[in-house]
Amino acid sequence: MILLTNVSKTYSNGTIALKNVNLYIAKGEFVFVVGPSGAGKSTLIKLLMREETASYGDIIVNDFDVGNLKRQYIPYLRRSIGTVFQDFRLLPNKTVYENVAFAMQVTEASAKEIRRQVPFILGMVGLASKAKMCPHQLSGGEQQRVSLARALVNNPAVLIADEPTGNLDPETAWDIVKLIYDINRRGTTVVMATHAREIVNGMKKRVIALENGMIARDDEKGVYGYED
Amino acid sequence: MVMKIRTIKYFLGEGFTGIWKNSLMTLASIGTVIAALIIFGIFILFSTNLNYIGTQIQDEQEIRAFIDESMTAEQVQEIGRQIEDLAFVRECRLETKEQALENLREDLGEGNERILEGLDEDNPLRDAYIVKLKDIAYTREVAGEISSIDGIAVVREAEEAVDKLLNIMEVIRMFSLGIMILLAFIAVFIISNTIKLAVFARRKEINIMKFVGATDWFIRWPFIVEGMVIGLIGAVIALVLTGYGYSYTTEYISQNLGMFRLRQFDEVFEGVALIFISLGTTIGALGSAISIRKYLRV
Repeated sequence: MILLTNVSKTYSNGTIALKNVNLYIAKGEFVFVVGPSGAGKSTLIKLLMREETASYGDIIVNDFDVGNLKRQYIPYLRRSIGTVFQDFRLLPNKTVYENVAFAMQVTEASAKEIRRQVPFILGMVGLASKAKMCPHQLSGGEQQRVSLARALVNNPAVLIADEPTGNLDPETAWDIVKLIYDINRRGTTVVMATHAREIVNGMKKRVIALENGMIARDDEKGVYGYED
Repeated sequence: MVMKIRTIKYFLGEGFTGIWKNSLMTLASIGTVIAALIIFGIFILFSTNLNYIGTQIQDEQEIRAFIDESMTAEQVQEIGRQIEDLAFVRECRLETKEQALENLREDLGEGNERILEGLDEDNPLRDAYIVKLKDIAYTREVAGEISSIDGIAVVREAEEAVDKLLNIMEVIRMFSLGIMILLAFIAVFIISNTIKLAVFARRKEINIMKFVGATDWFIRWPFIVEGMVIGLIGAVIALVLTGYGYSYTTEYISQNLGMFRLRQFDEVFEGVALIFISLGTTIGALGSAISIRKYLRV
């Protein structure tokens, strides 16, 4: 569950990134966030992750009062959110298995839990056979699957995907989106920022369009609506 | 902070792997620790020996208070008590004229016995109190006070040259203490910079740890372990090098300019090892902690 009330964000250099944003995303929803570059998509994601703090307004994510969260509780907020990025952000000198297990080690999960959970998740994203490979031996789509596996291994309530298909060819992109949709159908809330028109139009899901830091559209079964 | 055993294992594992992976950086850090500690060690040993020589000089320095021959045994004892009551007197020992003659005979050595012939029957020497002080800077004052005691014939005190030598040693000691403190700061600075490079090389890893929900301490510990191990390795190597270097140097000095006794390395080993190891690990941990701070603010 995500709730933003009157959220504004002005960076210290004076840039106004978000203006009075009100937004509610229910548990289990699948939401696209679209809009031109610089419209505030990245800022929105950073606020949800508490990488940045809002200048004004309240943010609630999974029962965490994000804006007033004490520094030492930030890690626990982030454990309740799975994150996937355009550039995968895998550790190059660790294997696929180790990359995924890493996210569990951080939460101080037991070795037994890790041995049980990691193969299960790798199977779910279709990479069970490549567990011992390193990221550079994998294709882009496979690397994104690894980062998806890492995002999901701690069973987060929310999955945030920041242009997850940005570096992938259209066919691979669709595979990743289908996988994310599978995850969504198991009950995980998904927020996906994207520029991929075909995917947004094809999925017919809720679309939130940001323009100049404000919500320009918020449509159920919406479309991409931009020419780029 | 309660830590699970497996987490501690993880920290140690990551700490050691880090050392192995960033081997070039690690070598540079270890080298810095070694250099800093050796220079540090030289000053420690230098000032230790200065102190040691100082106590030797102090030990050898004495005031001789010769007692008038007319004094009775009781009066002599009373004089001794008065001297012992003076400030700064550490030790006061009576040397009878018979002992003085014996010592003189020994000093003259064989073949010269004739000079002292017949003196046993009619000893011209005087009984004397040999006075040692807690601080020889007060030699003149104490000598003055002793000479004013009734029954003291003559007082012979330490030469002034020794006094000056001690003053010079004090200046050198303060100077080396200052350099020691300065060096400690330089070492922390250099090591924190070297570890900053190691942290920078792993900033991606740190960033990933942050967004999968690692706590600050979870991220910090492996680097601190790494820093401490670097410091420890540096300390051990520096200890070995300092030990050999010191042994050779002291051997050379005592063979060629053997005026004073110097400390043997096994006498100072424990102290130096303790200082090196605690300093090395502290510098390493401190350097790591300083250099990782910036990357935790995500």
